[in-house]
Amino acid sequence: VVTYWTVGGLVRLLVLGAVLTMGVLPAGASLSSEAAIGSLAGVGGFVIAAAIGLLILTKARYKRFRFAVSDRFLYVRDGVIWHREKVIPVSRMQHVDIQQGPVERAIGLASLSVFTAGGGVATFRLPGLDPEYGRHLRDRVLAARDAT
Amino acid sequence: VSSQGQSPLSQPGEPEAPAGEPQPDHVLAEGGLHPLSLFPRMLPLFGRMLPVVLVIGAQMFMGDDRSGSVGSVVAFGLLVVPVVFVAGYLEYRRYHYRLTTRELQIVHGILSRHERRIPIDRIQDLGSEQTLLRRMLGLETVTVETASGEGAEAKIDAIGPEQAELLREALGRAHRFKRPQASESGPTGTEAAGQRPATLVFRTSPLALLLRGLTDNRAGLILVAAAWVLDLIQDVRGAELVDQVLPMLAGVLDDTNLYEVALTIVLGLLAVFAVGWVLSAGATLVHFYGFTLSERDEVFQRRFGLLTTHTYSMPRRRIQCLRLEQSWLRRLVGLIVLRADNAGSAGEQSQEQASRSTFVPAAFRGRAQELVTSVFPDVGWSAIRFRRVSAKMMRRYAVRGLVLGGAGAAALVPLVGRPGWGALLAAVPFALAGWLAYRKAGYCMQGDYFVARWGIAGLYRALVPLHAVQAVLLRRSPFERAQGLARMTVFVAGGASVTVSHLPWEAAQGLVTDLGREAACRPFSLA
Repeated sequence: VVTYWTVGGLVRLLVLGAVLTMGVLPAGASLSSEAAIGSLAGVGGFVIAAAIGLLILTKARYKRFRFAVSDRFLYVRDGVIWHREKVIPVSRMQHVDIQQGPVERAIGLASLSVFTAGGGVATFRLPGLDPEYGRHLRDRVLAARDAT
Repeated sequence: VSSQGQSPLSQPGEPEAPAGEPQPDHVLAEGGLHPLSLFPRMLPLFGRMLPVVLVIGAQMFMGDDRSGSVGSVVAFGLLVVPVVFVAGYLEYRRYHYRLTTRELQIVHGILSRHERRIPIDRIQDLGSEQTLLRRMLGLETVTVETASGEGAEAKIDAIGPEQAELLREALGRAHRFKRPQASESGPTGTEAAGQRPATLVFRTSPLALLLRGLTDNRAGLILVAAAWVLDLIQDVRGAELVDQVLPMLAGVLDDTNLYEVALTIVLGLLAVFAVGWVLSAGATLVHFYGFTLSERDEVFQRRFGLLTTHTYSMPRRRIQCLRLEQSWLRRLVGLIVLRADNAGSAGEQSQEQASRSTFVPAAFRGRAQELVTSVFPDVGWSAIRFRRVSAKMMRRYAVRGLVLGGAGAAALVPLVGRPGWGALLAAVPFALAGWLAYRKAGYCMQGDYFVARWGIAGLYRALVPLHAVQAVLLRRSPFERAQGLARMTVFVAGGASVTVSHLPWEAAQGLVTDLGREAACRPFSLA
């Protein structure tokens, strides 16, 4: 997961950097070539600093992330700055998804989502599962629901 | 146009059940639009055609020399009339609905064919709407709501009242037929339940509605009214006004009748505000006029409206969350508004959804307990003992005020010097708000319900039946962690939620465990 989150975060950062560059460069260039170089360096520094921050944050996020699946409850705890704990009764499950995005496929991961009728926030999401384990987990959750 | 419209009704008698379905599929009711519906349905078509006519007309006007163009625009306009008639007629021919024991099908559309099928047990709510025009013609629109959260999923527009009644009856029967266990009181119970007359639960007095209208925060409407009034003034006095204002402004600079001018402006603004206010109150009164809430067979029915009459029904079991709302103005006049979220109309984005979820638009405070008891008889409303949240809430409010005031002072002192420190006084209202909020905040688990209350000057309460709880979320910001606090959010179907903040950490953990356990042992179904 750390790789997946990091890749996702880095891609977003690069896009942000590109946008910033495009925004800053013309402004700098209109002043002088020195200002242009300065602004480029500024953007580069920002991107590097943000990347380091991202790495640390992602690591922390991974460490914080805990989940548990019992016969009756799904439980997630995550969030670095804002701590969140979510409890969802298995009996409220509407349907289960297993997703694999392109990056996830490349590094052999899958994510599991258990949806309730409560909308987006009331969804149980597990990123970065081994696909085999994801399927196993899905079957377990489905069996648990049928048992209740 | 008519190439694909060869058989719009496609053999009405024949059920289109796909092969391999175990259950027999009977047609319970079907039909098309009422012939009279041509008229109200064509009006919006004309409306849609109008800009086209205008644009083309304007182009002709530009192109031609002016003499012949007016005639040609009129001719073109006349040409549109038969087109609209043909379109309206085709739409009328094409529109077809059919209710079977399994699903509701609606087919419509002239060029593109829309076919909508809704399984019977997904239907959350049935309502009816009658605009003034439709009511004069004796027509009715039946609305069908599912749990998709988008308000009315389907509308069966402009059918005769007998047909509407037939459809409703059939749908009610289909519901019972599909799920005999829904009315668990035994086979005779279902029979008897069908016969039981509706009991009137509540009727809103015009006074209460008027008060609601007056306490509505409809800034938008007031603005519109203001614009309208200004427009009117300009229309009436037009050039005169400009002629007067300019010398007057010039006069201000010379003479000292500044006071008079200011008074005129203030009075004018007040008049504009008052007109907007009265209009808004009138709109509310017209919208909810003659509101009645009645109950039959565990289904609540609401009827209201002066011009457009609405009828919404909501089964008790499908109420996900009942809210009692008193904004501070309404609290002053002792007025209370009840809202009931069902799975389909939890969000309050659109005007229509807000209107749908309004369970009682206005009631005086004394009736609140009676109303809550009629919705959830087993809640024991009067016996509820709310538990307080942490008193640290007051400190947090005060600190927030101090931080804001400090920031304000930091910004102002360099600019204006000593008086800038006055910004720190902002902490006082914050502290007061914190005290008020602390006194109001509370939560409790009572039998099959979770109840919460909150508010600063207003008072808001929410009742969530535990079987409706979808998920429970605990959140803690870094500050809340440092102070041992947490906030808890309970989610119900349709995306609505109730949040209790400033809970002591241990209490929050206990509450989440209890809520989760109690919710898990109560079955939930949208059907």
